[in-house]
Amino acid sequence: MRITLKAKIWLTVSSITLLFAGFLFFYFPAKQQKTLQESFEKEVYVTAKTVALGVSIALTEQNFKGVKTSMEYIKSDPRFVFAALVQTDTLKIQNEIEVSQDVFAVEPFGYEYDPKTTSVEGIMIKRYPFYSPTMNGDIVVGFSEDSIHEKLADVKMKGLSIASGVFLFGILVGFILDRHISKPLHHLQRVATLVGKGNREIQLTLKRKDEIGDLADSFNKMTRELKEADLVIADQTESLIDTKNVLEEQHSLMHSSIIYAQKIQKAILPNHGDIKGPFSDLEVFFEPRDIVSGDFYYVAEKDGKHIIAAVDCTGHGVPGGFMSMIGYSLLNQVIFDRGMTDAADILTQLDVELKTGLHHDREDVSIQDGMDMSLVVYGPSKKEIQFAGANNPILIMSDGELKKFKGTKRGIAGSSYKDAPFLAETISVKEGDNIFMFSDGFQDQFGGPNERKYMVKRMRDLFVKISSETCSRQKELISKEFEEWRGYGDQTDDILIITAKV
Amino acid sequence: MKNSIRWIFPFMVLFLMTGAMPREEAIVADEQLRVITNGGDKVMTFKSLKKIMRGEKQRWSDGKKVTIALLKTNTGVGELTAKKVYGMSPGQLNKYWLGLVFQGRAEAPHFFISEELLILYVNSTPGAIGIISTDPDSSDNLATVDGKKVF
Repeated sequence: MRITLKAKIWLTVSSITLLFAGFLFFYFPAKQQKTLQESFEKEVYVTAKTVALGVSIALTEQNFKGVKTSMEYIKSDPRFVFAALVQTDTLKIQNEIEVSQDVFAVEPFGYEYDPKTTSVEGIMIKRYPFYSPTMNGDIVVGFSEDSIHEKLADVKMKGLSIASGVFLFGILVGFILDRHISKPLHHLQRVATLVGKGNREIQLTLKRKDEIGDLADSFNKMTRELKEADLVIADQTESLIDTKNVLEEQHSLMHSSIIYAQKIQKAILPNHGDIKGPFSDLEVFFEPRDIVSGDFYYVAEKDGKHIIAAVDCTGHGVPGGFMSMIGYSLLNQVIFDRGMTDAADILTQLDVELKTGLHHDREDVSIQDGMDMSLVVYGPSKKEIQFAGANNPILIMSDGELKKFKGTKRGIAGSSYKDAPFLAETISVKEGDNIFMFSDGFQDQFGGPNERKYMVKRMRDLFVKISSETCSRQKELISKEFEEWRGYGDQTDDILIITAKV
Repeated sequence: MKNSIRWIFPFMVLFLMTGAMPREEAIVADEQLRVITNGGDKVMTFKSLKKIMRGEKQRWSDGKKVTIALLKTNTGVGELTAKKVYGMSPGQLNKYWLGLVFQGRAEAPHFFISEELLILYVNSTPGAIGIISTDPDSSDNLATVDGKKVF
């Protein structure tokens, strides 16, 4: 619940006022009544005591002045109702002591007072004993309580008057506070809203020498500074817009360059129709993460041998694209210029050429980039293939069994296992065998229900599942599986999968 | 010897009883009372005296206010006065006047411890009346009761 400042002021003022008025109207009269009652009781009691003392003196000293004076005094009091002299006699009747009390004298004469009476409505009765050899007893005096009631009514009336005055004063204070605090703040709120909407010309015109005046001055100063800041921001915005335009232009140029690089990469990569070679069926699932790819596939025919490679350059995007271009050129150089067709030789020479090309021996310009690849040489015999791998295996589905050929655990121009030679394996194949060559892009893709990597095992299961399909259908199924796994997530890396059937 | 003691014993008891009795009591029994006034009626009956002394008559014939002066009842004359004039014991007298004063029906008497002081008071207070036993120096203030100076 939102309580406005005005409501808070009125709540505070009315609470204090009502509390004070309540004190004056209820607590103060109650306290006064108690005080009056106690004072009156004491007064009547002292009167009875005075008369009793006078009686004692009169009966022992035969001096009646005290009785006379005290009686004249109490009778002159307008509250006086009666005074009784009660005689107490102690009688011994048949060994039993009996105390009797009789009214010996009462004033005014004829007033009917029962000695056993201790209280009468509207009359304050007090008694005090006296003792003498002649007579023992009590002096009982009764005073009207009307005067107390009158005084109390007077106090209540005064309390009501003062409480009303306090209440009216409270309303006046509330009105003044509202006028001096709440209204200026409302004005400030309205002006602040206008400033918030962009009006920097408006100024508060509160000429006051208090906190609200200070607030108005600060507000006006803030508005002026906002106006100056607006100008600075406008200048900076203009500058940023210029920078943005330059950046957009540069980005456009870079994008155009990259698009053109993509065209070059696409132009270099062989057409799917050209890569089938001696294989009965072959398809490539190629999904660059960016416009240009660090992964690429390579197909070449040399001396009746069909050479096919799946290459994964370190990095992706433009750097990966450069590496792929270098890799592609070096493969052509090794196979066609040097005439190498042995899988292990190709990888070994490629390693040398790439290290030389990237100046791995020079610390100042050396980069440790390289490439992983699996390379298969097929033909002229159709009963076997030669495989060499640089950190990349191949999988062959044969007779319902998926076999893995690991290759050498070392990348081309990579730093690990520096001295390990690239070895080639000759693998017997027969018609219908399905060879899978791939980069690590698919298995490293994040996704699925728990946003985890796809992993090699899941990919192997997928290959087993789709191996009976045609390569074209396999490509569709791989693509579908990839999209489902990735979901709405970003692609992690370039993806390359080559499926070929003997 | 035994017979002589039996004969003397009643006399000894009588002697001792006589000696133990208050000496003043014996004197009071023979006291005569006199009434002195200052400007009041000098001739009155015992009945009117009683009325005055009991506060029933509070003005003299000439309209002056009656002021009563008595000897305290712990004196022999005071006690005799209570008996003869009021027909009351000292205690009854006190209670009688207490009742009247308490109700404001009469002015209480002034009680004195000696006749000299009482006489002085009466002589100096117009309208005063007092009862004494001794013959005053001046017989001007002496009143007669039922035609007698003493009663």
